[in-house]
This record gives sequence, structure tokens and C-alpha cells, in this order.
Amino acid sequence: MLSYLKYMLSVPRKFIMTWAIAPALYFTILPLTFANESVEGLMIDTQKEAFRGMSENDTMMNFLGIDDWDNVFTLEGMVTTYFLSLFGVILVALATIVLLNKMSAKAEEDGTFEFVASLPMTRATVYLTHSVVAIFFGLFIAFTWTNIMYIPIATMELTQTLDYAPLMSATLMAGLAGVSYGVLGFALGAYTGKSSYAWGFGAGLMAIEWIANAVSGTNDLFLWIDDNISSFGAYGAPYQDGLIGGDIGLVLAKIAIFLIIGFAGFRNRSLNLR
Amino acid sequence: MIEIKNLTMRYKNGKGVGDVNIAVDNGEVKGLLGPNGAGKSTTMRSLMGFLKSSEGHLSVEGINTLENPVEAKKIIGYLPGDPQLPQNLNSKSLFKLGADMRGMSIDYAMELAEKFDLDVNLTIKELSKGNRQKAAIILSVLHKPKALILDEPTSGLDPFHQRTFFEIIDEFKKNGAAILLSSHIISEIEKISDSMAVLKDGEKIYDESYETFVNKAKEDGVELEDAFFAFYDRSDG
Repeated sequence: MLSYLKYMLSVPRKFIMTWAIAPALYFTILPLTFANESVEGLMIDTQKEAFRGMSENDTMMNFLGIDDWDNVFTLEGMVTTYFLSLFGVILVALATIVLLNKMSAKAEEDGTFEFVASLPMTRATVYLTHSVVAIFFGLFIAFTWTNIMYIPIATMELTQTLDYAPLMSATLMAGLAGVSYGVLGFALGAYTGKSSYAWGFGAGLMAIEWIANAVSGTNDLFLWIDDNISSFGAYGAPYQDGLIGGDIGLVLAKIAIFLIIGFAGFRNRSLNLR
Repeated sequence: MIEIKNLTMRYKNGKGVGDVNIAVDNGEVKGLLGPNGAGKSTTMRSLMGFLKSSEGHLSVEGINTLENPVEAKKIIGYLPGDPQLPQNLNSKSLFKLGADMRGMSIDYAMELAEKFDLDVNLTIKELSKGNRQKAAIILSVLHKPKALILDEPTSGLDPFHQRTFFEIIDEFKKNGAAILLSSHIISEIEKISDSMAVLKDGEKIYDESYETFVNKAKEDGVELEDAFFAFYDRSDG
């Protein structure tokens, strides 16, 4: 299994490094906008006033994961609300779906999986290795982003700052939420051998739960989805409140259920070789 | 020994193979012949456990390839009909993975790479089609398997390296490996096989020694390929 895990990480190593580093550098802009009073005034206060009209549209605010217009223009608000709870989750989910597709369902379709299938491993070993990569890749990139982003916070005298431990709690929650969608994509790809199912189900559920989160105030069904099954809903406010057992439990349970479903299909089907 | 008994595997469109029986003894090379879509790759993929057959007993050296795939794959060397390898890895890393997974060293793979004039440090993306085929062939035999399942192995190889390939197969044959090798060209089978099985529309229509077929062609005074095509056209699938 270790040899195969090494293979799983070496084939897409450029992809993994790109997804770990590139968004991190981009997100470093967030703390740097609080470099000093004049940068903050230019980057934050101007934007805050320019887009103030948006604050009157609750649905738009919810789509962007924003609860409190004034709070989102603080470093804490930016990082822990719309960055981690929305874009972080979406990016982790998309990257996980792309990576796992590349190594499983898409690999079946393009033929590279035939080489893997001829190696002396059971399907359970192959699936378990893919599952480990699916979970830890998502968490790895999320933690890389926030840790690289934290470098200027820790080393520069910014006008605002963040506490490291609560930031890591928020990162874990966002990473797990993204992983839950990524794993669903991987699992359905493994169940069917078709990469389109990975996208349809993984990105599809993410879209439904994102919409449910945004419009939960308008409809009981969406409110129920957001409260009880949504990974976006489970994110909560971990920077302020810490990790909530029930929320983590929900996301972990979703990941486990999706993985079991995927394995049930993968263990005994014909490979979708071209 | 490779044994395929009563193999039936149907795709959703109804194509596939039905009730195919093929046996390859140790030290024997059996050619599996048939045009595109005859069922050669389906038979081989079913034997490897990639496709789930509805019926059949498939084994190599007495090991059921479906019930005990890990043990079976340790002693099988499999070459796909259209080998696709990860583009960004070099041949050497792939050989290392194949060898590590079976607890072997890559010495034999490197020896074969030298015979095939293959630069093992180039990535798969940098290799020509023929060189990719060489890398795939080496990957399939680097663990010195007791059974070889090779789907159109000479595809893309130049005549010089086809000869190298046949020498390698001959070496395996002398060492007692059972070899099932598919092709749609009878002259290729002629060079290496002891016997041949012919598939048509998913059913086996011939399974005898290669010599029998050659003698029949001589008696009729026709070229081997012409004799084969005439036989194939006459047969009911």
C-alpha cells in the first residue's frame, strides 16, 4: 500500500504543489491589506463603502457567506467568514474532485488505471489508498493555505491580527466541509467508473448545500438542509466558538457514508476501461 | 498454466464473449487471433479480473484470478492492448513501482531496457509510441512471471525490437512460462506461437496447434494469410 500511496502522490505532484501554494499566495493578500493604516484605508474602508449597497441584500450576503457586513471588513471577518467558510470549502472540494478523478474514474476512462489494476493489490487496498489521499489532500491544502497566510500575521506588525489556534480550528472545519464534497465526487466516480458522476454528484451536492445555506431564511426545507445535513451549515463559527462535536460528527459521518457507498460499487464492478 | 473455462462476459450492448475455453500449458505460447472486436481483449481483461464475467472459471497456475487476485497478479505479467502510462513519470520510476509491489529488484527491468535501447530517464511523455510500448512490455515482465498475458504486444515496435521481444518471449517459454498472446496478424503468431485459438464475434472457432493450420494451407497451395481469411470467413461465430 505504501508503494502505491507513493505512486498516488508522485503522479500528480505538480497538481498537488500548485493547489497547495498558488491559492495560499493569493490569500496572503488578505492579511497584507492590513499592513498599515493607509493600506487598510485604501483597500478596506474604500471597498466597504463602495459595496455598502450589497449589505441590504440578505440573499447576496448569504451567497458570499457573510452574516455581518461590518465584521467582514476586519481581518478576522474576512478570513473566517467568506474566505474559509465559502471559497476555502469550494476550492478544497474542487481540487479533491479533480485529483481523485485524475487517479481513479478519469484514469479508468483514459486507460492509465489498467496499469494500476494489473499490480498485485486488492480493490480494497486501491480504494483505501484513494480514500486516504482524498481526505488528507483536502486537509493538507487547506492547512497549507492558512499557514502560509499566517506568515505575515506572525512576522509583520499588521493593524489587525489573528490567533493561531482558533484559525486552525476554522481551517479544520472548512477543510472537512470541502473534503465531504470531494469525497462524494470520488466515491461516485469509484462506484460508476465515470468521471462525469464525480462532478455531477460532488459539485452538485455542494451547489445544493451552498444554495440552501444562502436561502435558508426563506424556506423551511432549505433551513432544515442547512441546519441538519449541510457541510456549509456545519462550518458554524469555529474561530469564535471553537470546534463543535456535533458539527464535526456530521461532516465525518457524511465522509464515511460516501466512502462506504463508493466502495460498495467499486469492489465488484467491471472497470470502465476504454 | 493458464486456464479459461466457460468464460461468458457480456457488455450492456450484448457484445463480449460467450462460453470461451482456452488452456495454455507451461512452456507453451498460444496465439489468440481475431479481428478488432472479436473478444480478445475482453477475454484477457476478464482473466485479469478487470471485467466481471457472468460465468467461468479463470485461473493461473491453479490460482483463481478472481478469488485470489493478489496472489495471481504476483505471477502474471499483463500487457494491455493500448498501454497508457502516467505521462510525467519516467520508465525507471514505473519499473521501481512494479518491482517494489512484488518485492523484486529492478535489475531485470534495467537489463531489458538496455536490450530495447530504452532511455529509462525520459518521462513517458517524452517517449515515442514505440518506446512507450517497450516500457509497457518491460513493466509486464520485470518480475519474471510464470504466466504472460499480452494483448497485441508488438504494436508500435519496429522490426528490430520486435525481434528483441520475440527473443524475450522465447526465453520465458524455455523457462516454462505459459504465454497467451493476442494479435490480429497471423504472420506475427507464426513467428512465436506453438498453438493458436481464434475468436469470432466473441466465440472460439479454432484451437489447435499452429502446425495443423500451416499444413492445411500447404495442402491447399495457398498463402497462410489467405488460408486464414478463407477459414475465418467460412466459420460461423
